Amino acid sequence: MNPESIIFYNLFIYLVGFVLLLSLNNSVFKQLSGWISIVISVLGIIFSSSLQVPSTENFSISYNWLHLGDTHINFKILIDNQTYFMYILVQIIAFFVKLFSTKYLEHDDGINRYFAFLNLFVFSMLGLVLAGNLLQLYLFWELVGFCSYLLIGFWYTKKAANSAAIKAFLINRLGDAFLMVGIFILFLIYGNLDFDAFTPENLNKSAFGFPFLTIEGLQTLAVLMVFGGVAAKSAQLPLQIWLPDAMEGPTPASALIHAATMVVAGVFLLGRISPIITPDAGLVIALIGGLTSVLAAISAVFQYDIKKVLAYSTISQLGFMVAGMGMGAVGASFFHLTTHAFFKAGLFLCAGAIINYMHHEQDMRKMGNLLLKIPVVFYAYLICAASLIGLPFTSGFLSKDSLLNAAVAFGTKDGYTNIKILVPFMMGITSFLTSFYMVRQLVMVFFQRQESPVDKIISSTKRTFDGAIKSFQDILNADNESLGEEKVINFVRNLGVFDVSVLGLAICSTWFLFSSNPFSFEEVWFLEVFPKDETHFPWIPLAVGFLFIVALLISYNATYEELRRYYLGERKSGWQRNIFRMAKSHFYIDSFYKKTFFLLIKSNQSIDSQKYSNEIKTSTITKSLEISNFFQKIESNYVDKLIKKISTLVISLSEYSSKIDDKIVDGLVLKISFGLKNLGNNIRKSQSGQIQLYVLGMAIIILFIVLVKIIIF
Amino acid sequence: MTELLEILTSSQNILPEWILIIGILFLVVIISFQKDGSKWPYRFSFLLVLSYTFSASYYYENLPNEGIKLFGDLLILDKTSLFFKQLVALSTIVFLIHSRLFKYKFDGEIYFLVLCILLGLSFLAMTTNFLVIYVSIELVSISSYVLVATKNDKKNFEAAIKYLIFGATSSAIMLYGISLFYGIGHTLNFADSVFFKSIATNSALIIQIITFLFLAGLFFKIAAAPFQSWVPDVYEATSTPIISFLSFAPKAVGVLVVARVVQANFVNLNMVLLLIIFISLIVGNLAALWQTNLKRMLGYSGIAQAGFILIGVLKGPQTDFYGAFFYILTYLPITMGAFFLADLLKKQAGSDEMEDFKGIGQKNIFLGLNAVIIMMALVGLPPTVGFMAKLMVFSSIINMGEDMHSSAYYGLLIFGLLNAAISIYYYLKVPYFMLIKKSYNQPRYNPDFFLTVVLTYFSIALVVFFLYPDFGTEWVRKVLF
Repeated sequence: MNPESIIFYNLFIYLVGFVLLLSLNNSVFKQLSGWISIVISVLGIIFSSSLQVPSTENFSISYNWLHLGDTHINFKILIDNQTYFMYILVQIIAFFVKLFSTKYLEHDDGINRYFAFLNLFVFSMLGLVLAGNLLQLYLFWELVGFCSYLLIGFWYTKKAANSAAIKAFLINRLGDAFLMVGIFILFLIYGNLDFDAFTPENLNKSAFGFPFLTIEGLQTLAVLMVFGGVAAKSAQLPLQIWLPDAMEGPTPASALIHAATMVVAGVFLLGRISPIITPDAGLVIALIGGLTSVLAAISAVFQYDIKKVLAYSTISQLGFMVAGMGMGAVGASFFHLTTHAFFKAGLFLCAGAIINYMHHEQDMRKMGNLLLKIPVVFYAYLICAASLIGLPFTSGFLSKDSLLNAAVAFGTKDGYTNIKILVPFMMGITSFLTSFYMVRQLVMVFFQRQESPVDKIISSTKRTFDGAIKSFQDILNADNESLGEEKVINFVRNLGVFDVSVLGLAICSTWFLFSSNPFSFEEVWFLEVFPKDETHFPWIPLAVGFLFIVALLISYNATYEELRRYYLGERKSGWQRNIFRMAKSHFYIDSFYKKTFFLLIKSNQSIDSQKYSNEIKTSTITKSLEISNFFQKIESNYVDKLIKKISTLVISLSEYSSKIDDKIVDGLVLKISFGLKNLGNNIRKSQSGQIQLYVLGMAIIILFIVLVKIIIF
Repeated sequence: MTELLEILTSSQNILPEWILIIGILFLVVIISFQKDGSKWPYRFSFLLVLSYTFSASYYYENLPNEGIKLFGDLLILDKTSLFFKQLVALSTIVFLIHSRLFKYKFDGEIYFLVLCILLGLSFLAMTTNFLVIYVSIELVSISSYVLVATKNDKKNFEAAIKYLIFGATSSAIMLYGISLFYGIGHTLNFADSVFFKSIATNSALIIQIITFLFLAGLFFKIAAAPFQSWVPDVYEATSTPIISFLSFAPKAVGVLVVARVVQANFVNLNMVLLLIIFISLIVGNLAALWQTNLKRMLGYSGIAQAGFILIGVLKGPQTDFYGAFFYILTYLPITMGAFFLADLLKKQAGSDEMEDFKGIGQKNIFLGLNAVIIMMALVGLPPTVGFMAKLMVFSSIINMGEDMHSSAYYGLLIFGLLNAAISIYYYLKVPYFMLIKKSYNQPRYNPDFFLTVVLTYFSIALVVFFLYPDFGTEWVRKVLF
C-alpha cells in the first residue's frame, strides 16, 4: 500500500473504534469493548509498521483545503523522521495502556465510554503528529485537549475530577490563545503556515509595519507566543498547575495522556518549529524549562500521593525536554521524549497496579511491604525508576546523558560567566532531586519498614535466580515431576494483565532497543537521523552516578526519618515546616492564581451561599475592583432589558400566529375533513341493502348521465 | 369450401383455448368420479392453467404486429390479447396457490367455475365482435354468480342474488345497446369498416348514448360507478382467494374491451368516460373512508382504482393506453397481495374487522412492514410500483390537457390527486392499527411465518418493480395496439 492509504485506514479504524464503542452503551458487548479496542490497536500497529520511510527524505501529501484570496492553506500530511517515531510510539504505548485498562476498569460502568475516548485520543494524537501545517496542527491540538478533558473528568460524579477537568481545560485555553497569536504572527512574517515553508528565503521583510520591532524581534515574539501554547500543553512555568490535578482521571489514562503522549505534544511542536527558534527565544525557553524542572522536582520530593510524585516528575522531565529544545539539541530532546514515554508510562501503570492492589489508597505512607506481595510490579518499577534516574543499562541513561551533554556544551559555549551556565546547573540539580524522590518513593512503597532493603533485594533476587536456574536444569533434565518447573509454570500462569503490560514497558525501557552499547549515547541509532553536537563530555555519567549515590544515601535515611515521624505523629516546626508546606503546594502558584482571578472576577451578588457571602463581606468586597461591578450594572440594566424586550415582542408575535394557525388553518382543515366524512357517510347509508332501490338508483344515474350528455352536447 | 378451410385454420390458431375447453370437460369427468375432498381437481386445474399459460406464451412465435383475424372476424388475435391472457392466467395461478397455502377445502366445482371464467375472459380478450363480447361476458358473469353462491351461507346467497340482479340488469342494458348498434350499423363487428361507414350517417349524440348503454356491461365487470352497488356485499361474503381473483381478472379484460372500443374511434367517448371516472373516484373513496371491514374497504377502493385505470383509456391525439395497461400490470401484484394480506390478517386476528388488527404488527414486525408496503402501493406512494403506475396515468392526463386545450383534464388531474390524498387515510389505517395501536388482547393465533414469507414476495416485487421498472415498461410497450 502507498503511505497515503495506510495513513487513511489507520486513522479511520481509530475513528470507527470511537464511534463503535460509544454505540455499545447498552449492549451486552460492552464488556468486550476493551478487547475490541486492543484489536484496533494491534491493527493500527501493523498498519503503521508497513509505513517505511527512507530516513533521508520526507514524504508529504497535500489536499486543497482553504482558499482565502491569494492565500492557500492545504490539508497536508507530512511524514519525516520526527513524525514516524511519534506515530509508532503513540500506538505502542496506547496498546499497553489499553491492555492494562481492560483489567483496571473491568467493573466500571462506563468502560465502553473510556475506551471510546482512548481511541478518539489516539486518532487526534496521530492527526497532530501528521499535521503538515500550523493550522491543521492547531485543530488536532484542540482535539487532544478535549480528549484530555473528557478523560480527566471520566468519573464525572466525583467533584474533584470535574473541577480538575475544567481547570485543565481552561488553562489549556489560555495557552491556545497564545498559540493562536503566535500562528498569526508567523503567518504575517512568512505568508504561509506550512512547516516546510519556515525558511529564511520565505521571510517577508517588508510586509509588516511595526516601527520598533526588527524582523528578528518579531520572530522571537512569535516563537515565544507559540511557546505560550507549549507551556500550557506541556505544563511549563507558569502554566504547569493543571497537570498534578489531572491525576484525578483513571490511572491508565494518566499514563497515556498526561505522562507519555499528549503532554509531549508541546515538545513535538517546538521540534517542528526548531529551525526558526532565534537564539534569544531559545535562551528564554531553555531557562524556563530548566527552572520548571527544578521547581517541579523540589515539589515532587515532598508529595505523599504516589501519582502526584509521578506527575511532578513528569513536569520536571518535560522541563528537561523543553530546555533541550531551547538549546537546539533537537535529537537529544526527542530521544529523551521517546525513552521518557516508555518508562514514565511504565511507572504510571505500576502505580495503577499498586493502587488497585491497595484498594484505591494513594497515600504512600500507608503502603510498604509490597515487595513480596507484587514482585513483578516491583521489578518493573525498579527498571523504570532506574531509567528515570539515569542508571546504566537503561534507556534513560543514554537519553539523559545526551541531553546533559548538550546542556553543558550549550552552557559553556560562551564562557563560564554567561547566564547560559544556569541551564546545565539547574539540570544537574534536577538530576540529583530526581534520584532523591525516586529512591524515596521506592522505599516508601515497596520496602519493609525498618529493615535493610539491600538484603531484601539481594535475597529476593537470589531466590528468583536460583529458582530460575533450577527450573532451567530441570527442563534440561526433562524432569517433569520436579518442583522447579512447576515454579516457572506457576510464575507464568500467575502473570496477570497488569504484570504483562508493566513488564512490556519495562523491557522497552532498557538500553538494547536503542543502542548496542549501554554506556555511551554515541552509538544510539536514534540520534543518527537527527543533527547532533560534536563535543562529548565523558565526565557527565560519572557526575550523575556520584549524585545518585549521594542522593541514595541521603534519601534512604531521610525517608525512614519521615516515616518514623509519621507513625509517631510528630510535626515539623518553624522554617522547616514552612518550606515543606511551600514545596508541597508547589510554591503557592496555584493559590496565587486563584486569588488574583478571584479579585478580578468575583462580584458581590453572584455568591448565593450564606457562608461565602459572610466571608466575602469582610474580606473581598473591599478589595474587589470596581470594574467588575460596573460591567455587571451595564449588563443587567441595559443588555438584559433589551433582550427581555425583544423576547416579549417575539412571544406576543408567536401568540398571534398560533391563534391564526389554530383558528383559521386548522379549522379549515378540520371542516374539510369532517365534510368529507359526512359525505362518505351519506353515500354509505344510501346503500342500505334494498336491492330494488339499488337497481332504481342505477337506472336513475344512467338516465342522469344520458341527460347530462344530451345537455352538454 | 373456403369457409370450412377458414374454420380449420382458425381452429389451429386457438390452441390455448382448445386446451382449456378439453381440459374443463375432462375436469368435469374427474369431479364426477372422485370422492369429496379429493385433491385431484386442484392438481388437474393447476396443470391445466400452467399448460394454458405456456401455450399462450410460446405457441405464437411468429405473430404479425397487426394480429390475425380468425373465424371470419369473430376473433382477433394480437399481442395485446396475448398479454391480457397471460395476466389473467397468472392471476389464476396466484388464486390456486393462495387457496392451497391457506388450506381452503374447495369443492371441485369451484375450480371448474374459475376455469370457465378464464375461458370467457380469454375469448373476451381477443374480440371486437358484439356477440362474442356478450357471450363471453355472460359466461364470466354466470360463473361468477355461482362462485359467490357456493359457500352455502345466507350471506353468500344474498350477495349472489344481488350480484345476479345487477348483472342481469347490466346485461339487459348492454344487449339493448348492442341491438341498437346492429340496427344502425348492419354488422356486429365494431372494428369493421362497414360498421364505421354505416353509423357515420347518425348524430354523434345518439352514437355516444348507445355506446354508453353498450359499455354498461363492461363497467359492471370492472366495477365502475354507477354499476358498483354489488361490490361491497360480494367482496365481504366471498372467500378471499376467489374475490382476489374476481377483483383482478374481469377488471383487466373489461378495461381491454373498453380500450378496444375507444381505439375503434367511431365516436368520441371522453365525456362519458370522464363522468364515469369522476363518479367512481368520489364514490369509491368516500365510501371506503367509513369502512371498518378490511374486505369491504378493499371493495370500495377497487371502485376508485377502476376510476384511476379508466383515466388511462381516455382518448387523446396520441393515446396508446400505455398508462392503463401498465396500471393493470402493476394492479395484479398490488390487489392480489392486498387480499393475501387480508387473508393472513384474518387468520391471525380471527376476523376482517380492522379493530381486531391492533398490535399484530408489533408482535410480528415482518408482517407489519409488509402491510405498510402493500398499502403504500395501493395509495401510490414511492418506493412502490403503485407510484409508477399513478405517475404514468397522471402524466398521460397532462399530455392530453396540453394537446386538447381543455380545462376538464386539468380538473381531473387535481381531482385525482385529491382523491389519492384521501385514500391515504383509509389505506394506511390498516398498518396504523397493526403497528401503532396497542392490542388489548393477545392475537388468537400464532403468526404464520411461512405465509408471511410468501407475502413478502408480493411486497418485494412491488419495491423491486419500482426500482427497476424496465421489465414492466418494456413488456407493456411491446404489446400496445
